[in-house]
Amino acid sequence: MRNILSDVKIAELLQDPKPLLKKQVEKLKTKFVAENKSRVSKLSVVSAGNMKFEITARGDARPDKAHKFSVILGYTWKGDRINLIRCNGRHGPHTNTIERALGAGVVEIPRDTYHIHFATERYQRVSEETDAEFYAEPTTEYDSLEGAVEYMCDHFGFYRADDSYPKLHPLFP
Amino acid sequence: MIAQTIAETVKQQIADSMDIVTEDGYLRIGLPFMHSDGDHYELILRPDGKEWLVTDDGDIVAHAGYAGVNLLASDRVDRLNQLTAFYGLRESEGELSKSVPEDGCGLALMEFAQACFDISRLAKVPAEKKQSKKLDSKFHKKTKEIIYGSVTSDLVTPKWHHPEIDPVGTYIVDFSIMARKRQLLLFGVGTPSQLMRASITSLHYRQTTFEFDSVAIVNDERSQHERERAFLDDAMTVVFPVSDVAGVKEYLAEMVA
Repeated sequence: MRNILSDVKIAELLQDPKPLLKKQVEKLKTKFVAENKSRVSKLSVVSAGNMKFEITARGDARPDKAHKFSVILGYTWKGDRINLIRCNGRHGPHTNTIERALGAGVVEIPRDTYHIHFATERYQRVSEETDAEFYAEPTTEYDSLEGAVEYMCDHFGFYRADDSYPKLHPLFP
Repeated sequence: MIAQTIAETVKQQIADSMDIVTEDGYLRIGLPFMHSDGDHYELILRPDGKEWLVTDDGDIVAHAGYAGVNLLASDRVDRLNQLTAFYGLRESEGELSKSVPEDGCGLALMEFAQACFDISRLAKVPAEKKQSKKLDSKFHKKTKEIIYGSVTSDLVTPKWHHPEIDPVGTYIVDFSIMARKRQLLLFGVGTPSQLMRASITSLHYRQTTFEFDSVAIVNDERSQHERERAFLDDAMTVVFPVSDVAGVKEYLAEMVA
């Protein structure tokens, strides 16, 4: 049985204040490690509520595929990794199957549309196989990997901390 | 009896469910099937000499990456190789592809889609244990020692594939040995996935005019499922446990003498 992260808990985690230094955001946008055809950078963040999160920026390393990327806010819940937010680049179409069945809300996202995946309780309850962040909505907030990193770091509880933050909060990584 | 017109309508609807767009020199084919995150599988079809190349453009491995899983990591790649061999796919830096003749594109797309489902599922399976890797490494070292201790190295080609039947190297043989009568294809079988790969490779070549004998050296420190072992026995000319060093040496000496 999978561990279900409730919508209330998801909202709490997203609202939990998460300090970020400017240099950390820059590093996330520029210091990549090659992985297969991708380039990947990661950053661990400890929130004010002492929760540990991880941002993963992953882009296609081929210059003509720069539109294929994802920026993920991950959280580990009872040993299972859950992607709370995933800001995706452009690729094939996406379907929110629950919304399609209900005939309400965002149902289809056309191909080549930037979109954001959100973890929801309802998709976790569908089956063991469905990803928590199945639900997605189109966005025009960014149009590049770097833009998606900026967007992630400006939302979901993240804030730019003062440079003195690590001294004031020794637990900060 | 169902009217022919209904059959034609359903056929048309199935065709319409494939979202095909033409880009500069290739086709993007959006399938109605989805990844576990609701994103649709999309395949690329582009000219490849006289044939066509179907590719996932690295999407399957990239999607596994979203879950923090690298399907090409050492503790997962055996399973990936097993499935790519089974479906006759090539893998290059995470991109899966297959060359097909023009009149086989439709069927190839469907088969590729099935491969996508199976390979995507690997991201949900726990990685193989490290201890097994250590055991495999020891086993392969031993296999290599037996072969090179029995046959002169100029007769042995490691990581061999048939240059005409399999020019791109989808069906890799661990060691090819130029024997007196027929070429010997030798496989080291340390894990269940290697067992499947060896069996599939041998059976693939058996369907061609290429004449050979196939030999498997199996790790007897590991238990194997009866059904899988029977599959290997059927696919191989002869199977030796790795502990039977004398038996393997005697067989190889006789074949190359």
